Amino acid sequence: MIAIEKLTKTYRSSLLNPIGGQESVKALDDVSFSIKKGSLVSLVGCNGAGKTTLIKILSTLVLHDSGQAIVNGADVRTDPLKVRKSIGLFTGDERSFYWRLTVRDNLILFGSLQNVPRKKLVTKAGELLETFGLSGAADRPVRTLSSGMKQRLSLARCLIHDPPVLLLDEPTRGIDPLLQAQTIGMIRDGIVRDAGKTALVATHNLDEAIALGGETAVLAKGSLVFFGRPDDSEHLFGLLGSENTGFNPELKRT
Amino acid sequence: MIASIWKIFMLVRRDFLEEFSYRFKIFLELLSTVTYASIFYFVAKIFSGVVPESLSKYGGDYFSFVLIGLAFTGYLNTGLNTFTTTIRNEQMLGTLEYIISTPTPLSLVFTARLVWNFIYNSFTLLLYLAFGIVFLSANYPHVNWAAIPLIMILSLAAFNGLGMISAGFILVYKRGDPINLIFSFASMLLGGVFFPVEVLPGTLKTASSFVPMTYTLRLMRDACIEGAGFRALVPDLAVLSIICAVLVPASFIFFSAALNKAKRDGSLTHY
Repeated sequence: MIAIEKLTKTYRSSLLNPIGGQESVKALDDVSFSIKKGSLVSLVGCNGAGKTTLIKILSTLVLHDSGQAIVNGADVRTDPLKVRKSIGLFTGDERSFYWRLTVRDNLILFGSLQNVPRKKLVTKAGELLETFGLSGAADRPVRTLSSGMKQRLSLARCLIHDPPVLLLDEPTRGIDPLLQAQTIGMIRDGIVRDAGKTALVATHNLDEAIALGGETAVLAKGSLVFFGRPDDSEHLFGLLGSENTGFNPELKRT
Repeated sequence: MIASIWKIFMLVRRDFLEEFSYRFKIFLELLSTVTYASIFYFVAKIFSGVVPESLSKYGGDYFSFVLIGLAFTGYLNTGLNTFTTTIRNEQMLGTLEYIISTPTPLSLVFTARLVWNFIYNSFTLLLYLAFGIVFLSANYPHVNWAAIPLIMILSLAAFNGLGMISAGFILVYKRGDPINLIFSFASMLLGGVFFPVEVLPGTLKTASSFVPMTYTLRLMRDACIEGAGFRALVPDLAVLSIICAVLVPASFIFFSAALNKAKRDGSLTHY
């Protein structure tokens, strides 16, 4: 369902935009792995490891330098429209709504941009608001929602067009532990196991990666250093490595 | 096609709901329209009874002359600013990436914004003209109504072409947009908004022939004040058509290249 082969991406500074920095940054270096249909892979790595870059390449928002990425049978570079029809993107940015519009209006607007037929849209939006516990807030402006409610609305938006592939960039960022656990359960059980969708979930939280239950891809400085089923979060922690962050794990332990 | 119209409707509805959630802003905009029209009405009173040669072609009434300049400048500058404003707004709202990740092309999002601006600014334009005619004695006795839609469509297309090039600069350089700067000032100085182009000295008069606003305002004044027929309007309509034929495809090419550059740089959301 998702096949990534020798994917490389370097961000280069522009001569005409010196404040952007003078150094080139290799965000992804020869990364290869694949995700089978109906399965889930957690994408783990430190800040700057390349997780968001990978998600953005798969969602056609960033162009890679070399290698290939296939999503639901379509190449992200040569057939981006087909890719966009297949994916549900969660950016983790709670600003990504029209704050003065209501929750329902936002969901219906984004659903229409995702080509959901008009008649089906209102029903589907209602169902998703019910599923994510937002029915009571459906007619409130988004600006009045808590962070947790906005995260749930983002997840609902991902599913409005019933895509076969979900690309979730830190879906539990900024929410309380109880809601985190519920969100993880919803992704693992409701979305992947029961609905049969394919998901790539980027996270900083190693326990969360274990709880999601699928295979894990570990990125360090743009390189894939592990792909498979980790023993536990300690195993993953060791894979991240202090040399990758400049951070001393011993100090962190104390 | 129907799906696209539905999307445009939904996007226009979004703009309507957002705009009317800021009611005080709308009130201030209406107030500024009335104030601007009034200011130039009193400026025109200074010249009452005197008909400068440069205005004789336009019936000699400065207020009727400048009201068209004021009304249509705001209208057309919207075309120049619409796309940059859309890009900036969506970047700041954090919605740009999400929209680009949908199967809806950005051109359709732009079209919807254009439709909304057309509706909103038509209302402002009508308010300008209605206020000027009803309360301030602006006089347009021989309007060529049939020519006005054609002039508007060609002018909007030209200004939107410039606007798309502007948006391309915003995507890549974030705040450096030479097109908007140059054409906004050029339109004001050389386009004949406040005074007839005929009063400009030689070099500036030549430069004015490179500014689309010059043709739009001359056509509008000829059609509204003189009631000029199509035969008389053809030369300026032809120039405006050539400007459109060059600008519109060039703007699409330029914007696509800018979008690809922003994707390569990973800077779509940067502002």
